[in-house]
Amino acid sequence: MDDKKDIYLEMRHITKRFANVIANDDVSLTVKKGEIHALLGENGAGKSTLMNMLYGLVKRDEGEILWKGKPVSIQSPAEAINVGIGMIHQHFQLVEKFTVLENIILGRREGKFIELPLEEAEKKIQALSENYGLDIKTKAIVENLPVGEQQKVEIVKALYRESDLLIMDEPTAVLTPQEVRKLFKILNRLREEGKSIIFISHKLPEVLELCDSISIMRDGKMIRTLPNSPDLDSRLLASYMVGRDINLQVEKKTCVPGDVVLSLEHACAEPVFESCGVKDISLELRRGEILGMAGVDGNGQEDLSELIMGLRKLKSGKITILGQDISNYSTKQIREMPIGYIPADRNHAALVLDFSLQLNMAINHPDKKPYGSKWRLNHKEIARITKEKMKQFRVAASGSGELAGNLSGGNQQKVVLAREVGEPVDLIIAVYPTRGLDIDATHFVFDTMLKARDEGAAVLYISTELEEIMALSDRIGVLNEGTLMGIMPREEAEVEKIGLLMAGEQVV
Amino acid sequence: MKSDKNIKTKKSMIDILLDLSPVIGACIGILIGACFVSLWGIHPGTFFVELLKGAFGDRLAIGSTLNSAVPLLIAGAGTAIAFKAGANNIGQEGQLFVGGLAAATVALLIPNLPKGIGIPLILILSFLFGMAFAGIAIFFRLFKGVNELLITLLLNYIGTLLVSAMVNGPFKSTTNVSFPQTDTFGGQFLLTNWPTMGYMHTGIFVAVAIIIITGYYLWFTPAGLRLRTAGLSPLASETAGNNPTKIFIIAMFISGGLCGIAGSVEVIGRSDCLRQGFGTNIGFESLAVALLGGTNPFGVLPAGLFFGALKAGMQTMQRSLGIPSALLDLIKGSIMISIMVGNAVKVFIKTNNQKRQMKKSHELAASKEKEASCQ
Amino acid sequence: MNVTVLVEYLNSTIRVSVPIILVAIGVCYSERGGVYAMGSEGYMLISAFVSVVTMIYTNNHFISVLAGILSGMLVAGIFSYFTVILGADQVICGLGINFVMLGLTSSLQRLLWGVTGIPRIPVMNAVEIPVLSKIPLIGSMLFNQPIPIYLTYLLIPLVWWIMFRSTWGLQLRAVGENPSCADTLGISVRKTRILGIITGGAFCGLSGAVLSLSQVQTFTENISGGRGWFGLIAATFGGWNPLGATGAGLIFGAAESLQLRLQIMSKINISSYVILMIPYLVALLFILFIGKSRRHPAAMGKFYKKY
Repeated sequence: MDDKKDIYLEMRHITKRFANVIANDDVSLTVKKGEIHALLGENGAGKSTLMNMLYGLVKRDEGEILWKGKPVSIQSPAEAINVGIGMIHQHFQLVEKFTVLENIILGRREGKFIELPLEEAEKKIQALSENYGLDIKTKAIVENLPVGEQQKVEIVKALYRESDLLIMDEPTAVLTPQEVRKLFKILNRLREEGKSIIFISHKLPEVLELCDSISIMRDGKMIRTLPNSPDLDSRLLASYMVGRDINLQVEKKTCVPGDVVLSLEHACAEPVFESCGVKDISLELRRGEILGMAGVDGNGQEDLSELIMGLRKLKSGKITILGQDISNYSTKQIREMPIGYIPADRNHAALVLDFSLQLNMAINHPDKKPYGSKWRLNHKEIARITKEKMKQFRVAASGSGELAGNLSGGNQQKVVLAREVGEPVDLIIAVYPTRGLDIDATHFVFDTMLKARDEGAAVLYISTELEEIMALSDRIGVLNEGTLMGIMPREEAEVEKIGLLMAGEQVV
Repeated sequence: MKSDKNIKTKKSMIDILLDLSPVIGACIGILIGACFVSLWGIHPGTFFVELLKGAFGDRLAIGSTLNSAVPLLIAGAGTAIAFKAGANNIGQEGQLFVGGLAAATVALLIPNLPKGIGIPLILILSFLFGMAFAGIAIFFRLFKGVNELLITLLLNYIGTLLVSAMVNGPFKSTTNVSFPQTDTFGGQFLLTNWPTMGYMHTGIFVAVAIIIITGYYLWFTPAGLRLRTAGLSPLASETAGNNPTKIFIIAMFISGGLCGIAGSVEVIGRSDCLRQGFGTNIGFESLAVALLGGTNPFGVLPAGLFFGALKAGMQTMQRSLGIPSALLDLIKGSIMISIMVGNAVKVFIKTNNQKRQMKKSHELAASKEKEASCQ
Repeated sequence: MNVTVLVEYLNSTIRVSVPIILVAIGVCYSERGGVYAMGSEGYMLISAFVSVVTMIYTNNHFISVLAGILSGMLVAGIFSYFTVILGADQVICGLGINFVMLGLTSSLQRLLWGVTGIPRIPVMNAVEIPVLSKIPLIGSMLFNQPIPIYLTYLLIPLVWWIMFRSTWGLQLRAVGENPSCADTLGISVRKTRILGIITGGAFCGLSGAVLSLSQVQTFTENISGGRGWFGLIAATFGGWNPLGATGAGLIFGAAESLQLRLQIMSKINISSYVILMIPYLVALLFILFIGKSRRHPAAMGKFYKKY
């Protein structure tokens, strides 16, 4: 081809094996100068691995990388930065206590014991700001900035180091629609200046709107690369991405709602750290139904579940479970009720990884029968029950004495399920219960939820995977910025409608 | 249980070695000591013989070993509890000293108590004194956000000086002016001892009882399970409905209290009076004992006896071979470091092994796949 | 209190403070990088010992101070290998280092000089700076001191500059706050941390050398006597900023020196042990009033493992 010199990046036949999966299998990718190249794929398709190899965070097993026609080794981020590749992670890599200026010049390579060129940097940043329409306040402390601003800092950080190629890992996942518009404007400006961008996403409309070329990955393989054109539509891309029809089918009986188990009336909770809190949520959940709670990650899902479990203080409003006003209950008191809670953070909140499975089974109620009494822990009985439940929940482990940390994610989650819903419960709060699980384990979670529903439990199923929500729920609610945007019966729920609600737009 | 053992994969040689890392740490410490005495022109073999003789050579030696072990066992168990709960109590020394002070307070202010009431009263008060000292660190942690490491460390000095101030001031002896100490308690509160056994006293039974109680508490009660959960994962503890802060407070209190008891037992077991600097070094030695015992009271038992033997042996050697007592510090420090390095290496090898095993299983699967595709 | 007593008091405050301040600066370097500096007492001990021994054999102050600093750096290097490379517990290893150094120096002293102890070494003379030392009240306090103290004056702005104005200082602070961020920028977390710890060891070493050579003029068992811990606390409450640490160090020095004065003045009828407690109580009060405003480096005490 004649435009050979316009090619910035070529990755050829890249292969990477992790533990027991091939994360990348003979993947090739070409990025031209001044193009926004979308890298599409589902969770676990291998996009992040490929990009981490390009940035030197992960070492590749096979394959070569060419930069502007020359082979480069790239074994560490330092090398990637040196050739001119910058990466903006989904979770920003910023030092929160530093100022914006300090964060931007942190990656300087030259001269360890010379003075930081603060003024010079300041000037350069101002020039960059004007050139690309970024409005950056260099004196601000990063932790005080909103997410959108922090992302701009990341962009300037890469530009300051004169990167020609920016890798952006799901940059829109954490942004509000307005912030997304602003980001797109910036990215277009960068393209005009001849910078290339690899845009990782699984949001199809965004990709179609913004990108010049689209590469699609599935199961660690590069499925195809195509130029963006008006003939492309989301449906086609989606079919490439999943390689099958999108309809996740789950067999379920018709829903017979019973009496109210959980009710929230104008419940509010303060935000903590980076969460957005809970803002005036009212809902009712009945026996025998699954209420799916959709929403983009970090829109109050964990706040809501923690509020119900008494892990957060209720600022105002009222929460009732099984007719009892639990507004002022401690987690301990709430745990006394027949409730199963599957927290989002499996490794830290749900399990103690350094404990054996049997101790993990007992940590909720160690002083209750059959686990023990006030002064005695019945290890024998705990082991027996654990083994029984392990069989029932098909946990693959060497025994009840195995450390929880040695199990795979799927088996860990089965242990959590066995503990939380192994006995009949009236209410289940499940937060991202399938996160990081393989297909078998995912279906096991579905089956468990449905079984509990059919046995008369009320299930609050919180997930970011719309597909799951659509498949499992009897009713669907949508969270945005800590507000409940609306609840609708499954039959009335359409993907477009939910998508809009997730984006925070009211639908009439 | 039986079926469990069958399923468990065989342990490799390295795994076994790593599980023994405290023992190896102890050996390294002693070996360093042995190498060091050779600088004095003493054959390392002589060192070992003398050490063993001093620790177990006769009844007197055994008694002295056990007596040295008593405060280490009690404070070591206390330290283990704090560490299991994730509380960094390194204020054993200060807590121990105020525990001793509690003993003197009871003995000097109400001297005519019958033994049956006096000794329990001393134990309880010393527990409370130790708790109060730990309480200061708790206060700073909760209300000032300051790590308990720093505060307990400072309190060590304050506790030691408090005892010095008392035995040179209000509690100063009227009869003995050669050494700063209180008057003797008149045998009223002295624990029974056996002169033929090197004045071994009943404190050893108290120590063993405390070891059993704390061990049972940690491993066989729901409260112990909650404490360990909070130590390993505060988030999981909270999710399970517990209050990690409350558990931190409880653990610090128990730990401080037990260190206080260690101090009072040392006073009423050995000297029958409060002497300036009576517990110097015991605090940090009990920290080393707790680490050597894997922060497990049942492990503290052998670890404490080992350290007791080491102390008794070193004391004898000091007299017979002229080896400075500071050598014990060297051995103590080496043991602490080698145990910690051992733990770190254990974690390192474990993760590496897991990786390698996974890779192996993957390669196996891949080769099978290949075979299948060839056919 | 008349003027001469006051001048004398201020004079001794500076002398007592300098070792604490130097340790505090060293601690700043180690802990800004995210590693607890529990071994500072140990670095001081070994350096005090080595510098005195070197002094006896070479009779050269410069070489002795240098030898002391190097020994502190060496031990800090060993500590950094255990904690940063192998990932051993920083607190316990630091305590272990202290004990090993205490045992090592005391035993070696006994071995080399027996019970008589190390002979005294020649005084490090105070050097008077003309004009400046004539300033009333503070003149002789600041400008009639041995050379290491002047060196400390010069070092304080320098270390501040390195920490807050140089590239390496920025990287060191980043490594202590968010190591994974530093990693993605191609900064070696290990190298930066190790260098921070060793720099800290150098300052503790200098402190030990100053203490033994110019103040005690010999080596005695446990010569540091808790100054390492004071340095640690001063660094914490100076907000891990060399200037703040200097201020806190001065306060501790003033308390310690007050304690020494009060002990000499027999007129005051307080137990000398209560007086000895003053510096520790000052430290506690210090923490009580400004404790919460100090946030330690976010990654402090955490082992960073690269995957």
